[in-house]
Amino acid sequence: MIRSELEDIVGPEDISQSPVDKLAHAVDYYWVAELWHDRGQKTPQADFIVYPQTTQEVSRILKIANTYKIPVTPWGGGSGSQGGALPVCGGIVMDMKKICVLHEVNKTAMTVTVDTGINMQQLEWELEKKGGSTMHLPASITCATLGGFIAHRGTGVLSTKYGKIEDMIISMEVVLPDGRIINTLPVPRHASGPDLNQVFLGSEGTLGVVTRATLKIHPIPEVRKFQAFLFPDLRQGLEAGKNIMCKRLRPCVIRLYDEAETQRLIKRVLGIDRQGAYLVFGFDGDEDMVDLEMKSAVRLCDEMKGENLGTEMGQEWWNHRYKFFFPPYMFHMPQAFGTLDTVATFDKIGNVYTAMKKTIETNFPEATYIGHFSHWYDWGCMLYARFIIDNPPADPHEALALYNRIWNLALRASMENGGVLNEHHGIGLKLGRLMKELHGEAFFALEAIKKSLDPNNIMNPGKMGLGIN
Amino acid sequence: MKTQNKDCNATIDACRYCFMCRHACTSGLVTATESNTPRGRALALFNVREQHTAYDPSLTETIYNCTLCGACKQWCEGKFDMPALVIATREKIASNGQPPAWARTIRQSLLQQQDFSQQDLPEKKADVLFYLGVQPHPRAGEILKHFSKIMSAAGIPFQTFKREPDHGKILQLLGYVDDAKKNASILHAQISKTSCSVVVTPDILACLALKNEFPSWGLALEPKIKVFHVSEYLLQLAQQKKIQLKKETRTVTLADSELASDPQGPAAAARQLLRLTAGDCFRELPKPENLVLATGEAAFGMEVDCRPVANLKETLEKRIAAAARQAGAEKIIMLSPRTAASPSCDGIPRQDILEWFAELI
Ligand SMILES: Cc1cc2nc3c(=O)[nH]c(=O)nc-3n(C[C@H](O)[C@H](O)[C@H](O)COP(=O)(O)OP(=O)(O)OC[C@H]3O[C@@H](n4cnc5c(N)ncnc54)[C@H](O)[C@@H]3O)c2cc1C
Ligand code: SF4
Ligand code: SF4
Repeated sequence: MIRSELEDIVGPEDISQSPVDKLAHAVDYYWVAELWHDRGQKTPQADFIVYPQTTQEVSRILKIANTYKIPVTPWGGGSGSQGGALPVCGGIVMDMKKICVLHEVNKTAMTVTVDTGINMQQLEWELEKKGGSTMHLPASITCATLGGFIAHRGTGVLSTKYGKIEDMIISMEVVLPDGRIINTLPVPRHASGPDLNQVFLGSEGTLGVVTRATLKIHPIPEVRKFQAFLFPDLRQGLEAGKNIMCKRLRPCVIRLYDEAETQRLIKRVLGIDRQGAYLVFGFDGDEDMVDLEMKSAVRLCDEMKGENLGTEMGQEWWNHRYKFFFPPYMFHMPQAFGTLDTVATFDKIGNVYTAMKKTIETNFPEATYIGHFSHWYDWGCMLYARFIIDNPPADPHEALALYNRIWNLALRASMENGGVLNEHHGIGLKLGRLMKELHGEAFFALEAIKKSLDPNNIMNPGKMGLGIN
Repeated sequence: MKTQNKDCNATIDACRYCFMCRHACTSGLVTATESNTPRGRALALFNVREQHTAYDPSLTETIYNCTLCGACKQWCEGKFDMPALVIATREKIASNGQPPAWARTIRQSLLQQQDFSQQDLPEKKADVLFYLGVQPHPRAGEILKHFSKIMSAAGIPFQTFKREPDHGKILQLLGYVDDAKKNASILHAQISKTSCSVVVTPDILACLALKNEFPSWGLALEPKIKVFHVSEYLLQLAQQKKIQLKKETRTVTLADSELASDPQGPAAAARQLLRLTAGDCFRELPKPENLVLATGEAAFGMEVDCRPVANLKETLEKRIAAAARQAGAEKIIMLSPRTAASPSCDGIPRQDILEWFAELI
């Protein structure tokens, strides 16, 4: 009966219960889902995969789900690393990829209005043809959807200048759990009550389905130039990066790799085999402005005793920036690994790095800790730390227990030193248990919003620490 | 049914953790489904390999929905060969008689005519054998006329079969390797009887079969017989000034074949030929999309219309046409009559390279 009601909305081609579709929606980029699949354990499967093509269809599906109290998990590209798109309570997986129309490129306002199921790379290509770009260029640009980035407050490689996705959104259309379709205000800066965009940004499909968004676009810059430095010590690199930001220069990229990652990944991908901390930065825009800013940033790095590796070594990094994420460069099974991305103010970020490193290296001698600092703000920066275990226990339950222990200890070390649970990958299934610890009393406000918008808890239950009822 | 092939295993192991070519995958984009992407396929094939699950009709469908366009391989940093994995899997599926109905229908039609004899051989002998390779084709007669026009302008006689055996490539791509070899051996025998020294074919699949699969199936043609795709042969004629050509004045572009990207192969020859005759009027399709354009040799080769994937042909055509428009091309040249069966590609005229060349005489 449920199937025929859903079929009535989307048509028989856009609903599936086939084993191969259920499997494809039962493993996302969450290491534990991959572990479960690898070890022949049953991964959580939906009862139905539905592919709505319009906002109206989303709305009608949610009305049915709300009536029968069927869990609904939105699915974009499945590239999320936190298990956010896994249908842990079964029910409906709503695959968003068929809602992908590019509605308008407004060259006067420099905005684009587009459905959220669009593949980010496809959107960029369309905009490029029109001479623009969202400048949202994450490593997963080829695999993720706009909706996924909105849901996780994602970030791209040029975020230091152009912002994270939450800085790029002008307005959104959202379908609430009861099927109601709402629009946020047409501009994101106003004094007409709280900004509703920010309620749904980062809500990971727990408050509704984001179906359409208007984003800023930017002209393609005249030039984009890069420069690389090598610092004998990570702290000097951190100081240099901080000085660039506090001088209010506007780099599009700063990325600083610790000594371990410089040895492990920069060497492997870029072929730079040097001891020290590799730093790359870039500026884009009109050439004379870029040259001026470049000069100033170079001077700040010189002052911190960085060795100038030149522009070529910086350009190389840019050219190969996605290569790090492809096999065989990327870690994968049987290795256990996790990205402990966090963010803190400049006065604290160094301590967060050291505290997590110490925690992992002392408690888990079998693990390697590496990290880089990307996504810099006026007040602080993001740490993209990772742990890697080459030979985790063969037993999946033991491996899972070890994995969770590492996360708990490392993230508590981060929080104790002024870090947060996550910067751009989200919470999902993976970190939900730590949400109350992070937010304290403030978590009540999140729970209250959830309860009032989704009293039946149909939207992505089990995620973000919001419980399963 | 364990997949033993080492390379295939590497692909299964890598792809099932990776999403990084999803934006390029033809079948993934057209169907907008997870299971029709390299990763979706690898996830399911891993389960089969590890004997967690068995083949089921939905997995079979996914494996046959792959267009073999190779866009994933082009994009993949590790150069994992998903098309090879798909073909290897189809072989396993076919050996168990489980391919989808549309594939079984194609097989039936390709196996129907196996009783070739002396009567099907060319009437007159000549050094050059023109092997159409795309029978049945709605414009087979016209294709032959174009080739005749070129050859008479060059003053070179040629022979052609009265009835052509199939080359086996389509059967191979569908996983029916034994049947493919059977058909290929008939063609091999018929070619040997013609005593030709040159085989020219306008069809990419036929060309690939004769050059690559025949030797690997133990059916290598006599060493004196050279095989050419028409673009390679026509390039020679043009370079040797055996024919006078008019200059092309319309802007033209070339839709590469995903199956013939070898830098020494037919696509490279076609490109050279177009540059030679069209000069500044030749336009390359824009990158980076050019990298991910499946022009459809593989998909059309398997009679794309028969496939249950809605809009596959239209989507492939739209992508090519959009890129051609961006390049400012008035005409799209295809490498094979198979992919130029209808004269327009989403509103832009298109021709196969043979017909285009004949018009310039
Ligand atoms: C190789 C690789 C590199 C990566 N690099 C980056 C990077 O550079 N920057 C970055 O930010 N992330 C990165 N990620 C992580 C991942 O790509 C992001 O988290 C992305 O936002 C997920 O998008 P998706 O479309 O795949 O979403 P999914 O994984 O399908 O879903 C993620 C969450 O969003 C929800 N959701 C999806 N669509 C909607 C919608 N329309 N409305 C409401 N909820 C929705 C889902 O329910 C789920 O909770 C990377 C991942 C991989 C595999
Ligand atoms: S072919 Fe390469 S890029 Fe594509 S999924 Fe497989 S490993 Fe990833
Ligand atoms: S060969 Fe083409 S259709 Fe097949 S998996 Fe690769 S990109 Fe997709």
